[in-house]
Amino acid sequence: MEASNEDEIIGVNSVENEESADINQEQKPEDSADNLNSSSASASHDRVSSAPRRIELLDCNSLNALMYHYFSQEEYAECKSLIGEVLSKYAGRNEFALNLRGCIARIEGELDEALDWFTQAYEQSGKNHRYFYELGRVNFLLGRHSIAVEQLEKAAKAMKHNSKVIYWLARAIYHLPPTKIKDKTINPVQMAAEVLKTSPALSSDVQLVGFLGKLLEELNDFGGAVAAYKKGIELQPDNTEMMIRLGLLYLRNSNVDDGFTMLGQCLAYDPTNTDAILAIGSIMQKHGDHDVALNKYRVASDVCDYNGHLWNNIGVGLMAREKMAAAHSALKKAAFINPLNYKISYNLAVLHDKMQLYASALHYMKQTVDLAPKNAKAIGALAVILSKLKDAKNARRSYQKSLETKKTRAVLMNFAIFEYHQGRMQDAWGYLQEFKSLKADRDEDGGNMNSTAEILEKVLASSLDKS
Amino acid sequence: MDEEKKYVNFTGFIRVYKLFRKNKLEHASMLCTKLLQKNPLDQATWALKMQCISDGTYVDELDNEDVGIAETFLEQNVIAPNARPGTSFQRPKTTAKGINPILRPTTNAGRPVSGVVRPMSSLKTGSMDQAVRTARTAKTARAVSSTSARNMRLGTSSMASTNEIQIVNLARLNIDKYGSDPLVNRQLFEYVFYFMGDIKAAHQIAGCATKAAGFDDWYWKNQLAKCYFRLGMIGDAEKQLLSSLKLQSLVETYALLGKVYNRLDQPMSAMRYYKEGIEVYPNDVTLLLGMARNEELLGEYQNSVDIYKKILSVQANNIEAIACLATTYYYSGKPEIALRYFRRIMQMGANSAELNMNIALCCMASQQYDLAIQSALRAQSTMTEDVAADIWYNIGQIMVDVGDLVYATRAYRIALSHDPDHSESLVNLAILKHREGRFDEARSLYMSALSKNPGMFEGNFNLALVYYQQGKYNESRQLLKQALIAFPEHDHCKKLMKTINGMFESSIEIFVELCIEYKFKEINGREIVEEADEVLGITMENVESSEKSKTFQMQQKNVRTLRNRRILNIRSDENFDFAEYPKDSHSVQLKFTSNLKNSSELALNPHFAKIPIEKMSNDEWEFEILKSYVQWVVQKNESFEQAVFEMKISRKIPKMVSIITTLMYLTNILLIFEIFPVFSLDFNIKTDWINLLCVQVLITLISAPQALGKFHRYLLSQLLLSTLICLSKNVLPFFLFHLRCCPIESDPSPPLFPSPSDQFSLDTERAKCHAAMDSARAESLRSPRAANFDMCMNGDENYGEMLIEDLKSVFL
Repeated sequence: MEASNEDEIIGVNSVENEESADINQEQKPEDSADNLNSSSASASHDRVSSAPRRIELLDCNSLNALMYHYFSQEEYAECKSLIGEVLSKYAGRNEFALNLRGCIARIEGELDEALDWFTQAYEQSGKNHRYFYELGRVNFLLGRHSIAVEQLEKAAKAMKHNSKVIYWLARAIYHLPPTKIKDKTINPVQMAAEVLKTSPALSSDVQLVGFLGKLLEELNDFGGAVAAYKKGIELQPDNTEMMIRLGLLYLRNSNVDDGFTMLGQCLAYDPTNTDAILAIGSIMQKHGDHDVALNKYRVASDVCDYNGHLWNNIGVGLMAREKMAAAHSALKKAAFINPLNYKISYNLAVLHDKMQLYASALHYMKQTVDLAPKNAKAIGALAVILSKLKDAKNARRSYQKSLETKKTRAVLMNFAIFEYHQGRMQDAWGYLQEFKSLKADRDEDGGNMNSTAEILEKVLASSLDKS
Repeated sequence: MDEEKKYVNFTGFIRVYKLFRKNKLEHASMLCTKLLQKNPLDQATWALKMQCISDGTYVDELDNEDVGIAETFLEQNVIAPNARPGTSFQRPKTTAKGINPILRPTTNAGRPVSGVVRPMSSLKTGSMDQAVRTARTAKTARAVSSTSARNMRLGTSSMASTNEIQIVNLARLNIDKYGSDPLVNRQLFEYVFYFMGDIKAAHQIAGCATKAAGFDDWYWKNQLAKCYFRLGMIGDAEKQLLSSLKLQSLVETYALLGKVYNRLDQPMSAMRYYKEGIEVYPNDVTLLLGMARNEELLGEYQNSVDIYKKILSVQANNIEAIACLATTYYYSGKPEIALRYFRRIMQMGANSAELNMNIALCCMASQQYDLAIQSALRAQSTMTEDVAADIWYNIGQIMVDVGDLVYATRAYRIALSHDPDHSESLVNLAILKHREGRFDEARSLYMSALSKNPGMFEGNFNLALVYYQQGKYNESRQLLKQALIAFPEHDHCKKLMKTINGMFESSIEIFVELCIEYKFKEINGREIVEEADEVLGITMENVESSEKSKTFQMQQKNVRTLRNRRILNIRSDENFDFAEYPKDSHSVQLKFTSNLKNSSELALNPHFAKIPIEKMSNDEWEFEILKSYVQWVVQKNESFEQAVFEMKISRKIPKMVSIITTLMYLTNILLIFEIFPVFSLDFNIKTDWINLLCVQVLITLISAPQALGKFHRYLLSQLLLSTLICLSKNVLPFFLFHLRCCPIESDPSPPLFPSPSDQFSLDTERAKCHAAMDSARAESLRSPRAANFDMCMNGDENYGEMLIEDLKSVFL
């Protein structure tokens, strides 16, 4: 059976596309390349009884293995020249060569060319629908998502067992614009997730699982996304990227312990992974473990000292260790790199406030408020700085503005204390009551504030009684 | 009367000479003309007049001149086209800290910003086509050829000032006579070289002069070198200078040598001569400046700052040194110190818009807001049109720092109205638009910025991000490539590039489940518990996945076995079976090496997990396990275990294809017999080749995937098969012969015992195996692979040490 791939007979030309899938055997006599018609066949038949003719067995697939070898060794230049030879010798009849040429063109980023080659291969194969997979992928890379979806759907019908088709189909659907069909908007993310869920290969293919996790994350399906990522890590225990995503997902849903374990595991595999270092450092800082966090940042700052967020975190860590000058230069560096990030300027303002440089603090806080006008916390902090600068009128206005945007306990508390200092006991009492009516968030430590509130309440009560 | 007599009234030549000494060149030259009118053959006056004129147009030859596009891209003198980083101006060091486009912005040409604008600071980026395009649009346009610009200007300006007949007619001058006359040849040379700009004639004069001086006058050798340099004959210039250096070591010679080597893009040689010169003339500013500039261009900022400081201790008012120091301080996060240096420049009397702007930026960074705004305003009021765009751009930056984004947008727009090609303004404007959520506007701004300056990092990276979000991966990939050229170390870029590249690749992917068992030799119970927590440091190799080696970690305490499943992206090894396509196969070896625990501490027990074989293959590829075994590798005189898995991947052939292939094969055989009758056949059924062709057509029908249903295809193929077998009854003896695939005279049944040669090979295999195992146990085997490991490990250790040191400087 193997031998049948190699030897073919000459003089017969009416046979094309005898085979369906991978192998396509073409034959062509070398000595009579131009008269390829049945007359030549009949002529040779007539000549049968006369002297035996010299024949040569030709097979356009004979060099396929070598081609593939070059391809798998990433020797694209040689592979291309070989393919060129084969295609010119057999007038472009070698389907495998065309397919391989398309793959090379795609890897080299010449997508229009790749499209051309794959189309040729498709035609040559007798319209084999498997080529829609390759065509769909190229169109996807070119950003023609709707065409890609069409083609990949056809390919999915033709190749039921190839999980990659589903993956690329889902990716292409993900990029479609949201459409309205029958008065119902169809969310492409939802659609892509459903396509993935129907695939049987979901339990064994990391790529599918990872992408599903990402989609579910976007759809705010926390449980589903976590399950998907967990499955992915089970399939491939050293996939650091998935670990980071799972860790961050845990953090976003304030499941700090699991997030910490996951990121720690990631760092065990890749100790210089800057994303993981940043995330894990921020958790440590949240728990007040600044020294360890700074140690972690050392590694990261060596890899990319141009990361503004990294320098911001370093600055915060140093600030907590009361190293103000160092913190200042770290935060300034962060602000130099990311001038439009309001968190950095907020931290700078807090730092200057701590150093009792209120004018600079005011400058940075104003920048923060300009950059993030909806942030009630920043406006509240602006009020505190203004009150420290003894600008009572503007401080009161910004307190009011902050409360208009969003009522937060800390700002109310500050406002109450401020009004108390200004001697407006009645207003202070009012804000204090409002403060007590608001429930504490889960991630702020209410103990400190509550005790302050109690003291203030006592003082206010006594002074109000007096007045 | 008596008082008047106190003054001696010089007349004639002496008077002119005195005037010349007092540097009143125009007056002196005028009087010379008068003297020459009286006596046209007076050689002294003639020489003096030439000296006056050439002094008036003297140019410092030591300064670098800008290299034109023609020289940059059609350079024939370059010695090493692919230099190592740090040894060429084209490839400055990029590994140094803080030298990247984010922490220290770059000029239009992609060179980090320096303190002063000077020639030779443009970097060759991209192709000539790109350079020509940039030059046409940007303000930093370069002349097409360098030899033209300066000389042309000199000629025209001097023609305007001296409105008289030229005193030397070069065409009729007897160069041999005057050139070899030591009394006038210097003046003549300088006149021709500087004033007339006729380098060829100057070269002729210098040639005569050096011959007349017996080839041992350094002056003429230097002049010859200057001529050669101007004529673009760099090699000859170098030769002349080196021979001049043997006669007399002079600052000028060293500086010219430096210039020559810089032109050849050999900064290390230039540095060598600068250093030699400094040993002879310590504290010479010209040489020190040359060194400092070269260090800066090579990206060695610390060295360059040190040299600039030395220059300032010698010559405290060197503006270039002060400005460069200030710039470096500013970008390394010390704006207060930078401010002091800029103030010093201002105290020395310089007062330009750029300087004011720099002071404003320093004040802003060191939080002296009132002064910052004042300086910015002053810069704005004194600026000229050529710097207006930069000034407004910086005002925009200040406004971003203040937080007034509307004003910043406006400032960038004004900058663009002054210079429509200001790509930095375009990018920043685009970022502000992007922030507002106006993506299309942002994208078009990014694109126009890139069309002005295709090599810039920020524009490329930002636009790539936008495209990535929109799912246009191809465009994004191309832009990222550009960005990585500008900033090869950018981490985010590299990660993004990796993800996108994965989308373009088409490699075989196979699902494999492996199981490795760790065995700790129990020395005592306590140790095991401690060690179980650690990373075992097992690396995997020979797999062409994205990361070459990965480590495995034990997660539970006291667990002795660890299962590990993974997806492998496998590329083939060298051994490849060509004969067997389409059943082509690749053999793959996976090696798991424990490189932390030696073989006495950790034993690997490899085996493949028992999972259904279908799971390990996919549609097109079949997976076959060959063997798994353990071997020892020795590194640093310790033996480590290495588990090796050998697998084979071969391409599957679908069933339908094999049936069709068989049918086709049979038909072809029949056709062969029909057309070339080897021996006569008696067909029971009447056949001829037309019938066989019909059979082929039917086969073609089967092979077309859409033509028939699955059932029909099978049915038809079975039918065809039986017909063909029926037909080929007569040729069956031939089939037997052919299919057995061995010579006719050989014995058809295989031998039951191995042939001597087989036996021999088996023995040697066993012997080899024993030898290898014995030597491994004796811990003396040192395979080349182990040596590689050593190198790797050492490299890593150094890296670790460096890291800690660097951080000390950051934190303290």
